[in-house]
Amino acid sequence: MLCIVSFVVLLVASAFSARHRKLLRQSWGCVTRRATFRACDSAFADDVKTSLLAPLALRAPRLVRPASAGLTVVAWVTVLSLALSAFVVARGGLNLLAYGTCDKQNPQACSLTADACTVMADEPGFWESLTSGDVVGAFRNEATSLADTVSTIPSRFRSWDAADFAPAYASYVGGYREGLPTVLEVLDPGCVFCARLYANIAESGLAERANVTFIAYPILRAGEPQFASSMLISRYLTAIRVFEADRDGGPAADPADWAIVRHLFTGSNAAGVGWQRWFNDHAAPAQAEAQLHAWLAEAGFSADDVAQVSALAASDRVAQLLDDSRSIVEDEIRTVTIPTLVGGGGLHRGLVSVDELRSWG
Amino acid sequence: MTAGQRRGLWPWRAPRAEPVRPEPSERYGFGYLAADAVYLDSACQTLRPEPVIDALDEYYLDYNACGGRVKYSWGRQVDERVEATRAAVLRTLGLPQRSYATSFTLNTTYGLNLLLQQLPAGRYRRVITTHTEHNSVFLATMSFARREGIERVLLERDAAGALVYRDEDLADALVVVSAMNNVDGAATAGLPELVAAVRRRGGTTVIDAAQAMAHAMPLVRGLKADAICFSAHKVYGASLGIVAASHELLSSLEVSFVGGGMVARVTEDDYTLLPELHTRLEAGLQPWAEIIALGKALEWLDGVPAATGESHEAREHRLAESLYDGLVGLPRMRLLGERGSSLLSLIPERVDGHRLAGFLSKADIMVRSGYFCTHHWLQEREGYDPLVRFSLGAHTTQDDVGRTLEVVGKLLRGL
Repeated sequence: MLCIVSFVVLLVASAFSARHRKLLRQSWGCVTRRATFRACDSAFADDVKTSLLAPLALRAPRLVRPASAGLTVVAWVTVLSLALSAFVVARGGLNLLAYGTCDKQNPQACSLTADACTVMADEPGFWESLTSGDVVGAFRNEATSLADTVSTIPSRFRSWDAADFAPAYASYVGGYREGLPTVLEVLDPGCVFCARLYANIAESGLAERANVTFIAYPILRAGEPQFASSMLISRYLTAIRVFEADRDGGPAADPADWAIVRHLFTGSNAAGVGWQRWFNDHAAPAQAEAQLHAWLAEAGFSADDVAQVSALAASDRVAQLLDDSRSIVEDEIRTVTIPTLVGGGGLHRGLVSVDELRSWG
Repeated sequence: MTAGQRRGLWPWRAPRAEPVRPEPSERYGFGYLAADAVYLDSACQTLRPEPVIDALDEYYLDYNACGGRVKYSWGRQVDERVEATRAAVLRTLGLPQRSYATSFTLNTTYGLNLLLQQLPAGRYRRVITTHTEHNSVFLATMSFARREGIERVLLERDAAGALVYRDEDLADALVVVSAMNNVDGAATAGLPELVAAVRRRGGTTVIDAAQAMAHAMPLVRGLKADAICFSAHKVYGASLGIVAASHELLSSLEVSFVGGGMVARVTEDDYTLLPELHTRLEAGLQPWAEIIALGKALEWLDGVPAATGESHEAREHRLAESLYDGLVGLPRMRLLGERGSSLLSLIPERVDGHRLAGFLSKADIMVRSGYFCTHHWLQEREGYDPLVRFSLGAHTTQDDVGRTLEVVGKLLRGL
C-alpha cells in the first residue's frame, strides 16, 4: 500500500519537479504489480518505509515496530480513502450527468445542483445504513442507486417530447391548440423556484407559442409533504382538471387550475404576504382549503361546483391520478430537482432563464 | 546540542555537523575523508588512498596518452609505468616473471570469464568449485560446464575451511575457487596443496583472489596457481581487473575475444598474435590510468608498515577483532565470521537486513546488505534472510568501529 501512496504523492510532486520522476517510475512499476495482485518486485516500498523510519530508529528504536505498523495502517487508510474519494467523485459526476445534482441522496448538499427544490431519497444513505448495522443493505442500496444512475444517463442524451409525459386530464394555458409543441413543467405548489419559473414562462410568452401544462408533484420527505399545503393544493389542482374535463368533455379552454397556480405563484394577501409563502408557513389546512374555495368562486365556480371539486380532491380517483403523476416524474422523467421542464426537445432541471424560454418554439 | 544545530523542525533528526577531518596519521593515505563517514563496504570496493588519486590525476593532467609501442614521450611514459605495474603485480603475488604474465581486464568476473570462455575445448573432464563462491566463480563455472558438456562438482568444506576432495577427482579438472570468501572472510585452507594436487593430476587451477588481495595477501602470495584473478578496486586501486596467469595457460587459450593490441600482423583472412602472452586477454585500448594507479596502490600498500608502524593486515586484524568483540554479544542476531576477520556478516532476527542497513545509512554508516552475490550459498542453501555485511579497509579507524558498535547495538537492542 505504501507504494500506492508514494505514487500519488510523487505524481503530485513530479508535476512541479522533474527530479521526482525517476522515483515516480519506480513507484508506478510497484503500483502496477500491486494492482494485478502480484508481489512488488522492487524494493521501492521497503526503501520508502526505511527512509521514513530511519530518523526514528536512530533516536528511539523501540518505537520503530509500532511506527512501522502505524505506517502500514496509515497507508491502507490513505489508499482506501483515495479509492473512496475517487468513487464518490465518479458517482457525483454520474449523478450530475443523470440528475443535475452530484448528490442524488441529498441534492441540496451539492453546490452544483441547479436552482431548484430537491427530492431527497427515501432510502437511507450508505453511512446511515452502515452505522445502523445494515452492512449488506448499505452496499446493496449503493449498488442499486449507482445502477439506476447509470441506466438514467442515456435518456439524458435523447430527444424529449413533453406530450409523452403529459398526465391524464392535463390542462393547458389558454387551452390546447393543435400544431403547437407541448411544454411540461413538473412543479410543487410550495416550491419557490416553481413560482420563479412560472414568472419566467409568463415573461417569455412561451404559452403563446406552446401548449404549456404541468404535473403537480408535491415533494415528500420521509413520507410527508415538504411544503405544508402542497398535497392539498395538488389534490385541488387535479380535482379541478377532472371536474372541468368531465364538464367540458375535454381540456378546458380557460382552465381554472392555471388560475389557482397564477394566484399562488404571483399573488399576495391583504397583509402583503405572498400566497405561496402564506400557504407554506401560515395556513392551517382549513384556512388553505377555504382560500382555494375562494379562488374557485372567483373563477366562476358555483358553490355546488366547489363542493364537487372539494369532494373530488378528497377522492381515491384524484389520489390515484396523483400517484400516476408521481410515477411519471420518478420512473419516466426520473428527476430529483423541482421544477423540471420538458420542452424545446430536452429535459431542463431547475430554473430556466427567460432568454432560453424565448428560444423555444 | 542547540536547536540551531538541529536540522529542520523535527527534534529527533540527526544533527548535521561540519565534517571533521581526522588526524592525518589516523588514516594513512585517506586524509581527505570526513571523520564521521563510516564506510564499511571495502569488500565491494575499497576507498582510494591519496597517492592513487594523485596518480590518476597525474596521468590525465600530465601525460594523457595511449600506451602500446608509441614513439612519443608521453606514450613511452605510459608504457613504462604499465610495465612497471605488471611487474609489481607479479612481485606482490610472488610469481616469477619468466613463467607468469599480468593481464588487465575490467574486473575479476570479467577476467574469470575471459579465461574460462577461451580455455581449450575438450581439455577438461570436469570443473570443480565450491558452494561458497561469489557469482563470478559460481556462474562462470556453470557456463563453462554447460559449454563443454562436462560435469560440475561443488566441493564441501571441512570444519577448518579446507576443501573436501579426492585426488582422483582432480584428474584433468578445471578447479576454480576463491582464496577467501566475501561473506565472512573465511580463508580457503590448503590452497597450495590443492594447486599442487591439481597440477599432478593434469588439471588447471584458477584462483579468485578478489578478497584475499586486500585482506589476506599471505594466502595467495607465492601460490603457483595457473591463474589468479582479482580486482584493483578491491585493493585500493581504481576500477580494474587483473589476471596473473602462467605462460603455459595463456599460450593454451583458444583466443576468440580478439582485437587491437593483441596482434602483430593481420592479413586478409588471418592474423598473428603478439608474442607477449599478457596480450591474450587485452583486446583493444587499455585503461592506462587505472593500470598505472594500481601500481601506485600496490606501492602504497607496501609502504604502510613503514609509515604507520603496523602492517596493513595487522591493523585490519586488530580493528576486526574489536568489531567482532562488540558485535558478538549483541542480541537478536546471528554473526557469521571469525574473530579477526575483516569481513563479518550478521543476520538480524527482528529487522530486515536491508532495513537495518538503511537505518545505519541514516547514521552515515555505510554497510552492504543482501546476499553479496552468493545467492546459492546464502539464499538457496542456507535459507538466510538478507544479511548485513561489515567489511573493513585501510581507511577504517577505531572510532569508526566504536561508532558502528554504538549504533548497531542500539538498533539491535531496540528494534
